[in-house]
Amino acid sequence: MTDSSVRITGAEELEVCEEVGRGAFGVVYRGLVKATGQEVAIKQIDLENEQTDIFEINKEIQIISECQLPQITRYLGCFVKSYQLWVIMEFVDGGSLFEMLRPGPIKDEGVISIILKEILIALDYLHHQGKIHRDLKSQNILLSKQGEVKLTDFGVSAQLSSSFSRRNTTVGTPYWMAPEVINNSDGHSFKADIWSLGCCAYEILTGKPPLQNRFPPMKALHRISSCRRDIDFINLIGLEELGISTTFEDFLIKCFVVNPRERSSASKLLNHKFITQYSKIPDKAKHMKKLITNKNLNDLDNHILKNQNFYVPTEIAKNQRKWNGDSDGEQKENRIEFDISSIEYDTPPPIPSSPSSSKKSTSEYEHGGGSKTLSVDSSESIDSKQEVLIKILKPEFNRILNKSFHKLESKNNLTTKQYDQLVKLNEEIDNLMIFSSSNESQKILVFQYLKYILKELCKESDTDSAKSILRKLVLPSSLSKPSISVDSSPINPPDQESVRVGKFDEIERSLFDAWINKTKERWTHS
Amino acid sequence: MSFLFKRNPKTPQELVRAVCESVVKLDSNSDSTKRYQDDCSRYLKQMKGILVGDDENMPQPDQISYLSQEVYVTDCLYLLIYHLKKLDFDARKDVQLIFSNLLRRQIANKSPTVDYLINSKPEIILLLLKGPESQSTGLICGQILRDCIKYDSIVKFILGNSLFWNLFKYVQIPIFELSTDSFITLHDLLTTHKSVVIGFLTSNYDQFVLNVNKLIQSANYVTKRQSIRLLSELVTEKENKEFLTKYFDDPTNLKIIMLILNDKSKNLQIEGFHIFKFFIAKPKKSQKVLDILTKNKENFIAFFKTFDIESYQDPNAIEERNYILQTIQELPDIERIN
Repeated sequence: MTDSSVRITGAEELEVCEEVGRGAFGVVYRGLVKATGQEVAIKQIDLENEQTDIFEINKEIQIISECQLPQITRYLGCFVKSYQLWVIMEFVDGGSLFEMLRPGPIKDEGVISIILKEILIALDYLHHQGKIHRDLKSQNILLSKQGEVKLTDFGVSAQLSSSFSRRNTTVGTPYWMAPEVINNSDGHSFKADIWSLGCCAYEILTGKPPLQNRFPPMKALHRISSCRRDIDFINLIGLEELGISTTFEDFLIKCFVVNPRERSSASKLLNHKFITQYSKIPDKAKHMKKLITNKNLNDLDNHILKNQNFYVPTEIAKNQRKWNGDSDGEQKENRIEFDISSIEYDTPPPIPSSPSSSKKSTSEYEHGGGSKTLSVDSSESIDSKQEVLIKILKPEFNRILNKSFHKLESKNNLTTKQYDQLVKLNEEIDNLMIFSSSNESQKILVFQYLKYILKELCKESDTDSAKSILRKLVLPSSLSKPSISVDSSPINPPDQESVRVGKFDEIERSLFDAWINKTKERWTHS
Repeated sequence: MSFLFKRNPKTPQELVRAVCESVVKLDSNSDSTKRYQDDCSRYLKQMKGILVGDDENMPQPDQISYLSQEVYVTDCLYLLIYHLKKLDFDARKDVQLIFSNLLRRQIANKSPTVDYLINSKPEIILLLLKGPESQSTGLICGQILRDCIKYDSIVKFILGNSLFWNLFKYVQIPIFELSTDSFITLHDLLTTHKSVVIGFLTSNYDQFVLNVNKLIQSANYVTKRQSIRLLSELVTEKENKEFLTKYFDDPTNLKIIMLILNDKSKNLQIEGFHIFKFFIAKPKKSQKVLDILTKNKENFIAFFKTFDIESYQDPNAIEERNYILQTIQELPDIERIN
């Protein structure tokens, strides 16, 4: 019995590391259990946010706390910390199936069968307890570096993402939705998950869920919901042209039965030939690990280094942007995102290594979460030199940014808006980590800018009192003291407190303090 | 496999008896505990199968009837809840499913299980009420209990029992799920069967308000917010007239709500506002409440002028705010004590 093995009951047991995802409800961090060093995912839900309903959240937490299965991410505890609820979950380190598809779709039916089997086990478990996942898709299927497949996020974020979709006209994830869910007919049951599973299988095979390449979301919803006969949908998605084995095709047809009552259950599908015929494949974990390795290699080639962004709300937020905006969401993101904390730069490579080294043998990456060295193609020397320099500087600078950000956040009760603004600012700073176009100067724009600001602030000018206040506010005391004496300033610089709360709140608050003091006085008198 | 088959009870009655026999054996701390645990899990699964059916079979009414009769006769539910902790993780959930299913079963508009619980074995309800004292089974007990309190006779029983007041203790347990679960139970008990609650609130006003006010002044944000929300729901219930009159005439309550208005959290302020407005709107205010309001006239005016309620996009709230402001402005001025 393991149900009481690990149980996190307070923030002091944890070390919070980098952010790994965020959504409407708050932020997800990677964390470490201090006592054991175990990696965990920490979801911090902002309870002050007007959209969060504590009772709803609790319902979902009950659901996840009742699931104990290797194929489902494990719940480890939760607690209230000031205005936040921290939900601690098992951390799955390989990435999501969605990411595994980045190098390209998976054509090997054996591999698909292995993945589907694990998901079916998870669904069978949930369905037998009367639970429905409701948001099954590749983003919610995670792989661990040991090669395990885990279903996630039918808990807190699923609830939150579903309320998220209720608030918006565009629903959460239309391409995976069963007809009865779209039509809201006979109160959709657990069979809806089976339809979505079929969509996942299609997604693994082709890289996209059915219809995504052909229709925008709302149109796809309409097309799915107007399928009357099973053959309508089968034809719509061109199942017969996929070039797959007949057993796989039959499996998909069983998933895509329009009438939920006639659609197979998870336990039935577990006995489908497509699942059973591959169940004797030796060393299944190896196949899963290979997917992770491929993804890592591909990411490296495309300079995508942030590899832990697997939380759905983030993806949903991205999708929403995609749908609300235009098709440019379809383009591959080319921006380099560094996940600084999981990569160590022992010695920065001064000269780019030879091109061949960028294609390392897979085995080197097999266990290589800890330390990777960057290797860059050296065909264009100047540009790549600058690139290399940036690659060396960026992680460190990002680390500083992150640290400052977290410090700021932990010292203040940031509103969601402020938080977002700061994140945006950080992103912009990140974007400005580029060389200025003037060739003679080897200067990085944002650093140059920061330098100018600091220089300007440090300039002595006793007459300008506003500036001296600014100086005191911006420069750390250790830097500003020797050269500046602010005491002579005629104006009292605003104290730390008022800077923290902001002007409006300060007035409101002092008013209140006065009021409450007076009231208290009167109470004691009366 | 045939030897396994032989051990399998065949009829529903045999099944129930088998569950009872093996669950009692879980007491002993011997090597065979695991075996009995597995037996229990298996039998419970079969019971569940009889009650809800499975992929192939629809549930059979006569089988269900035999099963429930036997459950009542053997006090099987009592044994299961009493030994819940010793059952294996997934079996506990089956117990919950079985319990809820039996509760829902109706014969001629009556629930035989409810009758059984009230008249024959109320100890089961008391065991469930104490559920939050165990971390591993608290949530399961909570869910069963909430299924029970869908029936007013059970609510009446619980509200009349002194164990009810333990809930005020449980809602402050530091483990979030347990405390919130207890809160949902408390909330359901006081809001689902209004006619039962009216009498309870009237005759237990003092003890109840004392307890709720304690929660509202808790240091824990969630406790604060949930308790004030609960209170908010109770005071908007016009049927609770006697309770309302007492509550809004008591200056202590006003002071506590004023403290909430003063909280840093916007949500708490809003919740506080929705109670505060009734102090203002009450036609005949008690002298003590009137005194506090008058004394703080200027403070209130200053506060409500800046009170940021627009951001909640509730036109009613803005209207209410304006009404409060107006009413306060009409209060007599008093001389400032400097």
